[in-house]
Amino acid sequence: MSKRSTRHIDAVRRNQSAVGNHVIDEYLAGRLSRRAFIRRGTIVGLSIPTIGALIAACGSDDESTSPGAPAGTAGSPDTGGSTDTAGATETSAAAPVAGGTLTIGSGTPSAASANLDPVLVNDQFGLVILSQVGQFLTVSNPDLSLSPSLATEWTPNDDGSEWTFKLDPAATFNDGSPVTAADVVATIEHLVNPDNKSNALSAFGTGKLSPGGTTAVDDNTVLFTLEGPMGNFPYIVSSDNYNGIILPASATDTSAFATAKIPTSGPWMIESYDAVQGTTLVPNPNYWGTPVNFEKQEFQFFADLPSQISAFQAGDLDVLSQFSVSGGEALLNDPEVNVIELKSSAHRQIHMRTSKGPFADKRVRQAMAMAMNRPEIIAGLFEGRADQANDSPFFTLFPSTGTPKERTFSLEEAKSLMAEAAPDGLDVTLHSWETQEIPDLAVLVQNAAKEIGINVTIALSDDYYDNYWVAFDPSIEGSDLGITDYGHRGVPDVFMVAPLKTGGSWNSAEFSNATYDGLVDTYQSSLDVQSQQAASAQIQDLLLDEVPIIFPYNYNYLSATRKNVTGVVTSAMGHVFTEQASKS
Amino acid sequence: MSRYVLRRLGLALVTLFILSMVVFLVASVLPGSVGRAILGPFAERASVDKLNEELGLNGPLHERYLSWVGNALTGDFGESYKFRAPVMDFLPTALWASLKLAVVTLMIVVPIGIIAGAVAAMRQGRLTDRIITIAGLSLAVTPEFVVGIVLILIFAVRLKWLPAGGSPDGGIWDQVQVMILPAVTLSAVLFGYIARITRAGTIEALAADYTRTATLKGLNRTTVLRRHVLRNALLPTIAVVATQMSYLLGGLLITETMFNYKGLGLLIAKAAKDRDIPMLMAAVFVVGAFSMVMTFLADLLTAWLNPRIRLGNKE
Repeated sequence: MSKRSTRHIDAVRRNQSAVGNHVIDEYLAGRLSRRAFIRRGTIVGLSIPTIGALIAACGSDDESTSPGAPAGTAGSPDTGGSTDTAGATETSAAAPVAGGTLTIGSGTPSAASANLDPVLVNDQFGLVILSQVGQFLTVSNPDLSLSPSLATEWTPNDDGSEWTFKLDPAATFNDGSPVTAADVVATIEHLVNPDNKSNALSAFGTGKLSPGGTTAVDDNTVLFTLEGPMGNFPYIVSSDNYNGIILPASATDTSAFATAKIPTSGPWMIESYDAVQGTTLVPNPNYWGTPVNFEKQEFQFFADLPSQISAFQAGDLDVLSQFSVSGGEALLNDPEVNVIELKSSAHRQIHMRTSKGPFADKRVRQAMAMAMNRPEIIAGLFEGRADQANDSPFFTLFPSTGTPKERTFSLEEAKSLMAEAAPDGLDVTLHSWETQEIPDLAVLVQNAAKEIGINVTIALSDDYYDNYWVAFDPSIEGSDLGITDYGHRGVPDVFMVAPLKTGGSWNSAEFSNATYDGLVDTYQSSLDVQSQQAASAQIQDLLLDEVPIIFPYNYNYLSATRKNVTGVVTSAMGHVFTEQASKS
Repeated sequence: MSRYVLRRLGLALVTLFILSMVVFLVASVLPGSVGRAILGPFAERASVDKLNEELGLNGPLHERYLSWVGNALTGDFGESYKFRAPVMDFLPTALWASLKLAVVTLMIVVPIGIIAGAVAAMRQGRLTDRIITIAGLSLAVTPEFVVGIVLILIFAVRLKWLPAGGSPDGGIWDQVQVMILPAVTLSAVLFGYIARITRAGTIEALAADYTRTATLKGLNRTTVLRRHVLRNALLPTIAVVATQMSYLLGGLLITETMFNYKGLGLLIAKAAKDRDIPMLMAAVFVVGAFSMVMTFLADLLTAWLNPRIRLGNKE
């Protein structure tokens, strides 16, 4: 490295926090790849220009990834250019045409999301509209890095128990009023208040943020004081949080958000909304970012995926917000379609109750996990568009996973364990509900279990989440064996805490392990990737041995646009960012 | 005649009352918690319990039923749990959409079915009869999603002549375009029933003494068919059409889902899935009431066409 580069790096370092400098040290020492440096650097608040300057100064050539500057001052995520795995559609050779309407197909928002109440929205179909009209403090990009949005920078204190966010002074709501720290405080305090039945309570619980923990330092600075250190906190207030769009402090009642014309700061405004049919959006005339290209944007709600795909193929839709391999095969090879395929942490959890019943014996749980031939399952259910998971929430796409500890398929070993634990075999009922590929997965679990002498009866019912998922209280049965669907998150924290930590709110396996709880605390308080990977390795070892939950795979998130549509950016959370979209 | 009308009306009201009880009971015993269905699977337990309390779902069943019936009698079907807005904000739109689709379907299938049935009867045993009978039977047993998918693939995806779905909004032509494929799908399903009933009725009427007498009187064939054969042959067809009208109004879940047509069938299915009990009860009640009215009108029409029916009790 030249003296000039060294001087340049020193100059950059002088303005960084201790944590930021630690991340820079890790990169300079070669312990972080360029991609990991970009991702980790954005989490601890290093700006994209700073990261770019450091990479340039080091002249690293370990990977081709370059830091994606946030698109536009309003902080929309990186578009990634022309690759279909970066979350953006390819650039068309034909010239884009301004104006017109962009039509997007989406599922129908759930009951909680029907009125788009930002406090209650709990699915991607509500989220995808909220993220058109509102904005988050930060945006979680398809590559899992963070981009500025309403916040331009964020820094932790030395142990990560306090996070300071600086707001963009240019940010305004669509009525022209500025977005201030008071608005952020009011929004977040409303979400963490248990009385408001917020859907974000679990996320903020994982993020160790309690009522009273959010304060305004000045008009443009917000301080989050957490219950303890939390290295991944910026994700908790990012676009990964369904409910995190910032509203004016005056918006105390958001129950009729879809029609109440509450001011928001995003590029679009709701013109009309029908909870059954869909919604029409028009550009925000006071938008503080790059103006959108379209005159209107329509979301059409569909009751099921096949009708969405038919409408898309017929040319009635420009964008399909999500589809699955099963049922969407025709789109995967259609030359008229851009398929956006993102690695995601969306997955299924097959829990086995550890506190009582047939799976209380660890050997039975281990045998079940070993009996599942995951590569075959992935090939059968997803045509290979998924990655093997290894019975922990540390999926390969998370940098903190390090080198994954793999679960190997071994029927012989599984049978041997069963011969010791339950030589006469076992009868169990597998509970779940019918959605996407879960019924097929249930059959595959049943077949695998049969091989090792476990007779599985499948029970799929709409009341799975009421009666069989988690035994919330003694009157609820819970289940010895069940399959639960989990959506994408940019960091594994929620998956580590709620379903696995002692007393976790989604702990269907009733797993309670003091060593595990301690390791999770260590992981969460780590501010650098090396410490996280060290804790993660121990967690993976522990979960491979204890196996309260089989994590069989995490599948890729698929969206599609017609060939003449460019600039659409999606996320595995379900966002469809159209700020830079155009049609030719 | 007036006595007959009153008797049928009384019977319809009693049936409606029983229907309301059945609907309420069925909706109340649907598995799962309303609060959980509204707030979603990952909501905190305390939030779910709180919402159930706020919605008054912890009260005794009979009190909740009486309260619902009392309000329904004044036209107030309550507030949708899902949309947090009056049920009547949604029900008329869905009802209107389903009615339009039903009318378009009947406009297609009734004349075609009747003509085909009558032609088959008049050419009984010949090739025409066999073609019509086999085609009707084949279409009747073909699931509507198969017919629908084939139509979508040909006319929407391949030829791009018509939209693959949507709801009837905008101008008349836009609405007709949206309704053509679902209406043809439903017509294919109903064609067989109507053609067969008409064929059977026509064959019976053709063999009847009054037809022979009319022919021997020297009336021309068209007059015999119009005045004597079809008038009698269509009595059972009217009953079938009236029954199918109820099906077209509330039983179109598959067709409405396939064509993303936001009618009453889809509303009922989603309300059941979301445990939106006020919406479910109101929608089923409306379909039930509509069915009663249609059956009632069909009975009146049949009685008007055939005096033996309305005088049956006296004789």
